[in-house]
Amino acid sequence: MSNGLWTTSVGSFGKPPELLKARADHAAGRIGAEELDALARQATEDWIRFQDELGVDILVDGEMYRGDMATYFAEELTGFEIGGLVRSYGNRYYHKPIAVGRVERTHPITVEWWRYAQSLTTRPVKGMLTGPYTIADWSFDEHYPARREFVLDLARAIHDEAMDLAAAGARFIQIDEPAASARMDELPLVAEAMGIVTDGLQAHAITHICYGDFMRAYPTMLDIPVDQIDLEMTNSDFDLLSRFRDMPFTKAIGLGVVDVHSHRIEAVDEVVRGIKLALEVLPPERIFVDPDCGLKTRSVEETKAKMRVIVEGVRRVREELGIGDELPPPGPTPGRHAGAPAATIA
Amino acid sequence: MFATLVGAYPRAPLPGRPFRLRAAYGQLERGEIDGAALRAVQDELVRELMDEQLEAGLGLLTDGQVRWDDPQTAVTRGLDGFEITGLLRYFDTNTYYRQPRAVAEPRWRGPILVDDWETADALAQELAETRAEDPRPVKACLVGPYTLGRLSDCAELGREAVTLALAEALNEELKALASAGAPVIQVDENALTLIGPADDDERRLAAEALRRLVDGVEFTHLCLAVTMGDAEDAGADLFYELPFHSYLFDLCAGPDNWRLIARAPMERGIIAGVADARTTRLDTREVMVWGARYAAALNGRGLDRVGLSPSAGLEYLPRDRAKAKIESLGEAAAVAAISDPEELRRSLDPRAVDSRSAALGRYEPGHGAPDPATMLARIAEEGSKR
Repeated sequence: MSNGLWTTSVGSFGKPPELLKARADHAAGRIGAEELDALARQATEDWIRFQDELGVDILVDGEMYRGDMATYFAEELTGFEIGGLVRSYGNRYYHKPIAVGRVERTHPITVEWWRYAQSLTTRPVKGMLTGPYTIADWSFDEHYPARREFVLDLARAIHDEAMDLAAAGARFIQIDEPAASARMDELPLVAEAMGIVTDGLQAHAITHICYGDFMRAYPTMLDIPVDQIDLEMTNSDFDLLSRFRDMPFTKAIGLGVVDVHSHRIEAVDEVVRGIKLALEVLPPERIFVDPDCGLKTRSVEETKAKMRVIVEGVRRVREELGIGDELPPPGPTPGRHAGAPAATIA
Repeated sequence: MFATLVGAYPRAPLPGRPFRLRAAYGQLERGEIDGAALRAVQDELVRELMDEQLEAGLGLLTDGQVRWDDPQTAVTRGLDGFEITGLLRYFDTNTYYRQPRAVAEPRWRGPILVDDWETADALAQELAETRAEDPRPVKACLVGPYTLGRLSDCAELGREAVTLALAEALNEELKALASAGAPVIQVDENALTLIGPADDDERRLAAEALRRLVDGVEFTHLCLAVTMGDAEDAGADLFYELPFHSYLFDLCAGPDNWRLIARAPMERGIIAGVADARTTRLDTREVMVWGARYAAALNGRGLDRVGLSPSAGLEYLPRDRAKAKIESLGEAAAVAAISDPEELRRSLDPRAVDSRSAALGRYEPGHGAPDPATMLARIAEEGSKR
């Protein structure tokens, strides 16, 4: 029996109202860090329990202690100051960091949170990092004379964090690069930086890319040295899959099967349809099934409902096709350095 | 010579101030307030942003597009023929838009942006009274048919058909804005930067769409704005065979746009997008002044037909940085307008105008070479220190 179609998440989950209020109170100086930390730990535990009970294969901690994915790391690295609010979409804003000096990592950033989440379950919990290209792209730079230097300094910092996560026992480490699809001419820089991050990393390395022009980024994106690329597919109605027929996808895929920007809860049949479309071009052992992107913009109930339809959709397809849920062997896969297929480069 | 905005302005508050707009959207979503209450909060923000533009010395105001979810849907939501679908990145920014999908031929069903322009114009009048100044004109802005078509999903009907139908629908909108009294209408066509040197069909489509867009539109000043990169491959003919009165070019992400400016007929206005909207670093006043005066010098255009602007929408910056940018932009426009060469020289860093100062790396802000008596006094002072 083959194994595959492992269920997971992209990273963030909706924060419970009491944690949202505590974060606002903390920002306004009304409560201390310890009180906020206790609520974040409780929310993390709740999310781990939920995923465990639901039967998700690879868990995430839900990022209860993070705000924006780039700013969170900028706050912990030297060389950044945190700027004012900038809008990303609709009513969503983030504090955009500003590089004002050389960027360096002076201490582990996520390792203790990962250890805590992993201590709550026997299933694997993903290590979750933001990639160097995205941190650079979502920051202002007032220090570096050249963008490449900025990105590569960040790559060295994130590499150290990834190595510490692996040393702590993380089998799956995701290095998010949502900005990778922003500029086609910089995809080689994304790949170069990721090469530094994953160099010697003894874990299944994943990158998540979203909301860009995948048609143009493909197949060059396959040159990014990771074992798995996680892509939002629902948002574009799985249109990229059609390109895999003549330009084979050479890595494992993280297949986004629910829209994270919609309140609507997808029907299980929609999830089943998406998985079956992917199975037309990829074997189950190279498919991980998850939401399009982080679910932090959804409420707790919406997040849970979307995760339930994913798990149920996978269960149906596994049953129908006789696919098992045994996890892949730990460590890097041959896909990490399998770039764009030679036949497609010309 | 004047300064003006392009694109959207940050809607987040200045540091330490309450973020009323974000709270209002949250209240609307929870059903605690209605659309009219949200609009009142937006109106208050428009007033605040226009006051900020006046303080900075901007001569042509906008409402900062604070009511727009994003550039693509601000207009298409008001037309027949579109569904609004998934999120996509806007050019190379970390800002997103919902992609419109054309499901039927786009049609104009009534004014889309006229109310917003009239509100902004009324607020500008009120502000002028409060400040005891002459009112400044308010420009209306909308995204043009080529960009709307290019960034939408037109697979079902074909992009050419959708783009040309959009042009005709938006032609009605332009006429409605002109009838309402909008003195300046700016058409944003950022997708012209996506046209490559061999894209003859795209050039033809863009030219035809823009021709239909402005056909018969009278009694207003029409400005064509291109930000987010170089539009040189779209070709100077495309720009200048169309009856636009002025052109706004991004000169930071698209420095080659200078070559388009060099070919602009002298009677057309040029708005030079010289303040870099994508960095928090403040722009050098001397470079902005040089940009204005170079645009004025080309083809004998003259300063009366030149303006300055940010290179793109300032919404990519935090509000305090955007405010600092427009303040320096307003100052640069004021300096660029100085007609007396000596006064102009005194307003600039001497390294920008004096090669000997530049060679010595000397910085003496606010004046040119010191007179001999001052120099002697300074030498004596330095000597006494030794």
